Amino acid sequence: MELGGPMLRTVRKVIGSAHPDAEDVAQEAVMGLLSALESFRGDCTVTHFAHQVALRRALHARRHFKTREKVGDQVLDAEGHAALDEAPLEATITRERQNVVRSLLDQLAEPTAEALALHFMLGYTVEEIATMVNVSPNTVWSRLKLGKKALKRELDCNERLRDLLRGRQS
Amino acid sequence: MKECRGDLLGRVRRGLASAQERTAFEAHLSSCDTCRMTLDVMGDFDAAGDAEPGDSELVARIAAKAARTRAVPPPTPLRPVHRHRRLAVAALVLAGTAAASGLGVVAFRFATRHESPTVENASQQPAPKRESPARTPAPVPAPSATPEPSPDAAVAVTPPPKVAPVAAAPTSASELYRAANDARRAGRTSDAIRGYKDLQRRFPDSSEAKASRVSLGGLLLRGGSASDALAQFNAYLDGGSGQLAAEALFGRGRALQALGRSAEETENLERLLRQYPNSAYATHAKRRLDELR
Repeated sequence: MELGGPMLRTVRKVIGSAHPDAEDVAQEAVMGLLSALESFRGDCTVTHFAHQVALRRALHARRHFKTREKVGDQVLDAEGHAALDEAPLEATITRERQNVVRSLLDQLAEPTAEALALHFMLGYTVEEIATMVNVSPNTVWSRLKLGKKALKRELDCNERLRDLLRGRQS
Repeated sequence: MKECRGDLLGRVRRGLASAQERTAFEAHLSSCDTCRMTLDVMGDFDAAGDAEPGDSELVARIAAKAARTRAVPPPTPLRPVHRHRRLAVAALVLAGTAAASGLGVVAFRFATRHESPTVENASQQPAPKRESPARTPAPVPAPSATPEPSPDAAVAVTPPPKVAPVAAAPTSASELYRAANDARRAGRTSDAIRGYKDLQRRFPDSSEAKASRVSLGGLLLRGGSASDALAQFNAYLDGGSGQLAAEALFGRGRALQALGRSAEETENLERLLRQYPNSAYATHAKRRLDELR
């Protein structure tokens, strides 16, 4: 099993593929994993544990970036498909929605943001998330419900996204 | 907002749902905004963060830094199985690092249940290729007081681990590629073009040089050098199939459009749709084909 690549991938999903600090954040995540091994008790698989450590580190990094205003989301997620200046509509919609999700993660309470990211970005089920974060499935459901409600509101209010979706329908 | 409890969405996405369940799910989607949104957004992140050229060396570099900064944690009097598992994991990280630094192989090999009696033993042995099937890690019921992972825990100051020393990396294809990409993202187009050309000249057979043809083609096209851009996209496509083939075809189409070579553009777009009917470029290609016809 190889975990370096998956941890890097998790970091990139959260902070954006093109983020200049992706390597540093992944590095910190690996160091965090090594530190956290002492508290690892085998409640979930090592892979899940590594993903969770990488995710938490990346979420923390995002909030830190916001605080120091080092980079905004436009820069964070500016990576296009191979730098082609006029990305097709579908790719643009995807990127816009990714930006909305990532921005929302900065605003939500940390447990809610973590549940949302584990579910939407990494594809974990409610049961898996419950095991990973050591809470009941009902708690995960509640957090996801809050997160989805907020996400729906953000997506519905995003004018650029609305324009793009209208363009797709026309 | 309607809340759908159940794991059907997850089962469908993981390909575990039966045909009947899939049909039921599709019917459900037509009436459930939340599940539609969830499905869309999950799909948006499926490919996000995927591997890029140069990742192997990047991960090896991260592993080497981790090895330099932190040694294997000392044994602590926890339950033996936990101690052994933890030591095995940490030791195998470093073992993987040693392999990576010596051979250029990316290896963060972890074993959840590999019980190695000592750190020394574990670090001298190759990482296990796979976990024992009998011990495949099914999620264990969570104890009531599980410590949370602490990604931000302070890194203890420890002596350097006993791994092969890592030499300063020479200028490599991945470094050149990364520098050129950084320049492109920062808007330093001239530096980026120079970097990609340098990469192609110095490491013509590397995977990074191949990938750079698509990025360079895009920059040249944007700068008005459609012929040069076309040459880059053609070079990428002539090199056999690659992960960026759909992007290269899309770029070639735009270069041909800029050059007014409509017949070739049409042929190119048809090829794009034929080979990558589900790519992000399909909608654009169809629309452009309609304009051309």
